[in-house]
Amino acid sequence: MSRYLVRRIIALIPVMLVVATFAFLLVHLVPGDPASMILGDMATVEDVERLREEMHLNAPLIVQYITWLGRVVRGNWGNSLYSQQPVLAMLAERAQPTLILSVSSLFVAVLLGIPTGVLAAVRRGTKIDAAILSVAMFGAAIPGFWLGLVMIMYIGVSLGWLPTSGYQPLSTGFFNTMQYFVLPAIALGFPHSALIIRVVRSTMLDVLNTDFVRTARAKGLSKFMVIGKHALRNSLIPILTVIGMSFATMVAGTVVTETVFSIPGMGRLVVTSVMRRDYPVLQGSILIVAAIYVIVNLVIDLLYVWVDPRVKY
Amino acid sequence: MKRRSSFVIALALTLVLVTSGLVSAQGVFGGSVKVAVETEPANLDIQMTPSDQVSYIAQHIFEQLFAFNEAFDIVPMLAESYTVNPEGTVYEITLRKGVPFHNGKEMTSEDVLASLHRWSQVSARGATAFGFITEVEALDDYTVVLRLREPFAPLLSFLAFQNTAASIYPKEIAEKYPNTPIAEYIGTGPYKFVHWMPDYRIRLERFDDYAARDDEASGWGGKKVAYLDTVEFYTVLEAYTRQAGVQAGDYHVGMVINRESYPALVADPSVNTHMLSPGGFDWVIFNKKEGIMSNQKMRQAALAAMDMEPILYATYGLPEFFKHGPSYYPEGTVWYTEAGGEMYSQGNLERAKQLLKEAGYNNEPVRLISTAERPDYLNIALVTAAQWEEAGINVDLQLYDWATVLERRANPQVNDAFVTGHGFVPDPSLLTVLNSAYPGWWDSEAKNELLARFQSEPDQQKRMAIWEEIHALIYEEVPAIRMGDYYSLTISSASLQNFYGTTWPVLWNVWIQK
Repeated sequence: MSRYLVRRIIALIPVMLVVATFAFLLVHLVPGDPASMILGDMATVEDVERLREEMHLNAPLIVQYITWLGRVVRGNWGNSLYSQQPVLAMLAERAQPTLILSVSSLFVAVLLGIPTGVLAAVRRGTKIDAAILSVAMFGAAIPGFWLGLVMIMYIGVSLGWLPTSGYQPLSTGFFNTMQYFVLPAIALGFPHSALIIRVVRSTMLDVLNTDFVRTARAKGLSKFMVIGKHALRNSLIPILTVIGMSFATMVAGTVVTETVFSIPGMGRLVVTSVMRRDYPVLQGSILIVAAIYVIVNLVIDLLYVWVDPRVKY
Repeated sequence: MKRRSSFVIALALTLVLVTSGLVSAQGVFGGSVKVAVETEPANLDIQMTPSDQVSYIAQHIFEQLFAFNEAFDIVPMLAESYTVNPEGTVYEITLRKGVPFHNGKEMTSEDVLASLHRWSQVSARGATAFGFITEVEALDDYTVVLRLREPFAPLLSFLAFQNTAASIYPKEIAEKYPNTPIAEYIGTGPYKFVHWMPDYRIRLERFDDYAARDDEASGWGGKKVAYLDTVEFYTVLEAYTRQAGVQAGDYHVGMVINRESYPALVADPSVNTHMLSPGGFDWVIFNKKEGIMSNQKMRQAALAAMDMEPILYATYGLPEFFKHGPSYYPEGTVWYTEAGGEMYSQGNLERAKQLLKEAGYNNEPVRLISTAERPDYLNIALVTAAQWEEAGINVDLQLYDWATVLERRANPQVNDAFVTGHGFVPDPSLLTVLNSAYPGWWDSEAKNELLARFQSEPDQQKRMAIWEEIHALIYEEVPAIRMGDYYSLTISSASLQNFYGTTWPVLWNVWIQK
């Protein structure tokens, strides 16, 4: 097990190196330049050229790449071209809102997805099953930003129950922070719950038809024990995979939700950095998101062992 | 009986309030105002960064020697008074005494010298002004003399303007950041900088030792009172979120609101709507350095083909939001003129075709560059392209994201025309297209000669006559085609008093009614 872990961690190095190279190339191959974005609409061509020179944007790409990679390896991710702040500090600052958003969205998705999925499987072929599946289809089809705007309109403005947008850090109190995340978590979590519902339903259906479930029923176990302990436990592997991938997608996909609800997280940072052509910040964000993806993958693989003792590495 | 006496008391009270003007003049101290702004500026260096977002946040922190009042006349701000010699080449400016910076230091002539020097280095406008200024000298702690090579009539406008402003920084800061954005925001304004949470919030706080002027408040000039304890600017990228936030009471001001929401907002008693005036305008700027549109006849043909009304409706929607007309300056301002205006909005396809023929046009593609990132620019490009096509111009419409537009328009080999916007500027010499180095490169001899005369003419009447000539020349040489004026929609919550919609809305002399 520990040898497996070490092997997996070493294998991350080439993956991250490839990601870093692609991140750098993609970001630099896109036309547009940060100097003219900083100076804005009124700037003359000479103004922009002067700033490009000062920002060392005129050096050959390969030189810029090697300098950047050398710095990243040593823990210096450079400064934002736009705001001059260190990239690592910027990313660390944005991590809290993004993590709160992702975790609470996952909470919404799982809380909604697993029980309804189980219910749909148990009541297979009934009206309840059909209703759940329709809602799930609807959930998968509606765009998160639309759901967000509709909730802002009705719950934020008309009813005035929750703030329409914004963010307060956890240091201002847990409940104070969380009131800002209720609507965004639903907007981001609901579409993902649809996916979870469908996976839970189909794996549960498979398991419910197996012999050991029939045996459990025959033993006279309560319905709750049969479904909760025997059936659900044995469907967990695919469910875990889908939850893990949902979480990774959420971390990377907070872009739209954070923009609609004006949450200063990593997603919004990525959007504004793309628009500003803020190369160091973009490269840093891509590296972090890629790292989260591979780490979540690794954690899921390790969780399999805990869920299913038959799995051995 | 009881009812009648209370009516009399109410009437008497109303009369007292109305006659004494108390209703509108009594400010209330305290509270915090939250402003939802559409994008976050890179920094608050108001000298260096030419963006409206910098101007309307940083103008609360920094002040210039002069300022504009409501009518866009120039009034002294940090200056007490000034004199000019009859030739218009020596300005002697007396500074106000006892004006502290936010760090407690008193502002004196050494700060003014250092700030103006930095402004000449980091701002395109400063560089233009210092093309005329040969020497800046401090006679004593409170007197500064500017000597000019030759008269530069818009000098005071340049010194007062909020965009890449000649703001006065403490000497130490002006010298510490000679050509990079300042990172310490210390000014003399009514609010001081406290905290910046990147991508989220900029917080300002009342500056208790602010030295206010005594003269009546007007526009950006006169007496400034900081009623509010704090002013916070929140970056809210999504327009609907800004609107909903003001309606729900989460913000007090929402900048740049969707125009389609206007009818609903007018009906909502919890918000006030403001059209930001003077408005800006959007235009198509031609590449006059290279390519097919460097032919003046081609540009005249493009102008002849255009009918502005459909463009204005398609772009700004409701007629409340735009003004159809040829003048680069709104009616009521000193620079209003219709010179050359008969060429505006002709919609004359016959004439356009005739001009194309004279230009020797042979169906070469005309590359028009715009962006879908900004809906106004997209709509202008779409309708303009349709009208040109109708006249027989083969339009190659290219849509990019904004950053790419900025790059491509700066390259004379890859564009023939691009769409962009322009904010209100108090002096015509500040119009970007008059600058030969600005993309599009209008470098004609006639323009250069007129501009030089315009900049050095001290007499306002004669300047106006030259501006009329330039205005007519714009319609003759067609360096660019302006569609018409537009007004952005800003909303404020009904509790916010004395708030006016201007290009750079101010939050001094503004208070919250509890």
